[in-house]
Amino acid sequence: MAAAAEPVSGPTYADIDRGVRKIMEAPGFVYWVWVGFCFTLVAIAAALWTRQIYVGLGVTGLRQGPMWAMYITNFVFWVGIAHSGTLISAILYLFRTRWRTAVYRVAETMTLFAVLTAGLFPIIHVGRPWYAYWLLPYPNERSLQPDFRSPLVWDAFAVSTYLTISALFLVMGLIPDVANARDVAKGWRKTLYTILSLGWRGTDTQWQHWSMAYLLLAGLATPLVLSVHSVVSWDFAMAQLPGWHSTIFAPYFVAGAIFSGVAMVLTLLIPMRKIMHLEDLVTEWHIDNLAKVVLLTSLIVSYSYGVESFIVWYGKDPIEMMTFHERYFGPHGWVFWVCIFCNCIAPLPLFSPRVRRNTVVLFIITIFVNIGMWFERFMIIAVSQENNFNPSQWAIYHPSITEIMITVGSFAWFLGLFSLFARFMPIISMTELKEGIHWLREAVRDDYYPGLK
Amino acid sequence: MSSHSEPSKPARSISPDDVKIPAGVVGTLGVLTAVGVVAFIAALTAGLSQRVWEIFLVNLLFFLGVAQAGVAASAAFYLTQARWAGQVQYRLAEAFIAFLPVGFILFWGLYVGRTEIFPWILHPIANKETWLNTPFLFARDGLGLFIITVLSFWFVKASRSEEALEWVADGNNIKMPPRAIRRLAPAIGIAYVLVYSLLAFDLVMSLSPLWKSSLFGWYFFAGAWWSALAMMALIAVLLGRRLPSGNVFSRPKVLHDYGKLVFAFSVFWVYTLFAQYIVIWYGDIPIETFFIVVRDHYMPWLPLSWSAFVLIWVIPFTVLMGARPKRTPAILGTVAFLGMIGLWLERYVLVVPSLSPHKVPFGWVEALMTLGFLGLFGLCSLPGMRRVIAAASSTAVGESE
Repeated sequence: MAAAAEPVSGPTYADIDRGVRKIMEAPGFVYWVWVGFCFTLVAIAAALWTRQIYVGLGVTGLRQGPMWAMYITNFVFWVGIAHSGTLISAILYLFRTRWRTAVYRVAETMTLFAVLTAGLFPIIHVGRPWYAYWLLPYPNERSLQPDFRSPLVWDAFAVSTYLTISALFLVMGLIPDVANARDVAKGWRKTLYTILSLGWRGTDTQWQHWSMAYLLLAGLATPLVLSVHSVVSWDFAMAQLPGWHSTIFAPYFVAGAIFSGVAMVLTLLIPMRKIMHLEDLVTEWHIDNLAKVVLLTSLIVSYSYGVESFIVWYGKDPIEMMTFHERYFGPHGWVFWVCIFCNCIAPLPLFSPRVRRNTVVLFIITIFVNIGMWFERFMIIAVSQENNFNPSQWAIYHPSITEIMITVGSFAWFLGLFSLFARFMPIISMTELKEGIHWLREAVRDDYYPGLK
Repeated sequence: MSSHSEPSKPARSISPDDVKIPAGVVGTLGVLTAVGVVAFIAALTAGLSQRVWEIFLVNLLFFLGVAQAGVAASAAFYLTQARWAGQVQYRLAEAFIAFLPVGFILFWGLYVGRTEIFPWILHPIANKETWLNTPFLFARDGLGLFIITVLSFWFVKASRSEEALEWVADGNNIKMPPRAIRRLAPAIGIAYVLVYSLLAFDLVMSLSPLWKSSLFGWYFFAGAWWSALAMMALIAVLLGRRLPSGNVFSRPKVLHDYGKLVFAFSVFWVYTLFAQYIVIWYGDIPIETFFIVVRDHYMPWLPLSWSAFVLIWVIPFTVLMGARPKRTPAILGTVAFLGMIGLWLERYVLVVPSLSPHKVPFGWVEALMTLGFLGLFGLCSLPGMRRVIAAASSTAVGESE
């Protein structure tokens, strides 16, 4: 390596250890207020859900017309958020992408908690949640199996596989870092880290097995990035309902998932980097590259909006035409235009490297994307059902306070879990940052953009 | 292929002008082209114009797809800062660019044969005339092809500049490519996706004017993209054996990378196929299913459709799964070669059953004209191949490990 001859400048191994261990120090008062706030909202949502179970689904806005609305929107939104983790840790790992090192743990953590959040919603949505296990093939004396022709069953398989693999991925990747933390931890933390590090000593054989296992998991997880949200999209596309039945749904949903997921990574990472002073570990280079993924997937989502509408216009099916006319200009038309602005127009400034490297502007854009992607799911799922083949079933969906508060609660649940993890576990991979310290130093030197000042 | 036989030295640098393509290769390609032209004229005089224009369209879509997706692949390499084969991967991806203007001119041939291939000209579809009408179709597709051809040449010029070569030479850093490339590469990507979706809708989907599938454009350019990758892998294998020892293509690591691309995008192709298939199969709406049923449920098209599926996905997926097959030239080369045949077949099966649902029109017209296109594509690739050979044989260019 040519760089070995140069004097070392930029972060050292010790700086990386110090930086990450500092995040794991005992958190202060403000932190606990924040976590307390999050879980208070979760408690309110839980209370409302209990009431819903007791009183029945009548407390929701689910009436005639849209029977799948906010809960299913949340399910799809959170499964989508989960996608960036596997993209970054599996696909970009196989592509030998250099910038993933500092950000992949954040993405993986987010993935796990997002899937956990998503998994709640099908259960919240059904009238008798205690029968949720009917979705899974379970042993019973009459050999009754779930209906394998139902996309909802495919979903149960896809999402639970995804949960398993992403949890394994996270736990596997943590081993060397947790072992690192174990060596300096005290008290209950030491016990926890000792258990989680599975006897890691960093011997040659351990590294070999660990790297091979990581590679294999990456290979296994890669098809999941595409398959999970494809299967979710088929919950809708299998039906003949206009607005749902479209062949582009699978890749369109996957692109949207990665789009919203990476935007959410940035939404979490940018403030965290600022509060914890991680500028030398999570550099503008990492942020810039994440922003490029947001831009790319935004373009794919725009393409999908365009083609979907074009094909409806080209097909000239009167019912489909009417559904899309209502989607643009009907009572919920504003939802469509929010999506267009947030998902197609707001990310366009990311073409400029200056915008991508300006964390304030970037943070605002990612907030728009989060909003836009939630509304996209809502538009597809709820608004499409407002007009179907039978005019007597037409109805406008109005969410109830129960649904709104449970939605807010899901965000709080996600943010609360993430905040807990971020202060008690190594949220940045020390191992991989050290492996790629050469790139990190170049990134800190900030001379990789020729002609940009 | 190259007449260079000097022993391999650490800093060997060869200019494209020094590369001599054997006269036999040039002669064969010339003869093939001539055969194609003669067959084209003979078939037209013999009154077989429908078959002529069908196979003309199939070959145009296939070869133009390889050439254009190659340039798009080069742009994608820049966008991902890929330097795993140094300069060579860029020269190889851009090698077929000279076919683009030729393809653009050939596209206008379709205007001559328009009534033979577009059923909606003689039998207009109610309500659809705004989109499906001759002047508008040729104007928008012609404009799209013109723009992307100009952009491609502009981009490849920047890609061959000193600055770009310097950037490519050292892969051991996180430097971004030069500014001109940073501007042009995304433009190429966007133009490729838009123009090739448009071609898919206009030149393939509209041949069955009642059928529609929103993923079809994506599926179409994913296939073209894969054919360019398979073509690169095939050429890498062929040249690896013929060029002096120590050339870039003789390195298992480089072949491994090409093999990974062929493997991965074969899976992506089948994903876009399956995503359409399952939605249409499950929805079971006659206006959507007829397009598929005629191709993969009934004779005579059934065996051809399934052969394409086997050649593009089953074989690459099963054979290239491991590391060793990707690094073995004979295996990678065979899979890529069969894949190219598969993708040609796929384009054939996409186009022809719409016009001839009950009969496979394949005879001397189709065979000879396809050979003609192959020859023409080969001749157009020669200047590009000179650059590939020069770059692959030069060991002065450093590659990242």
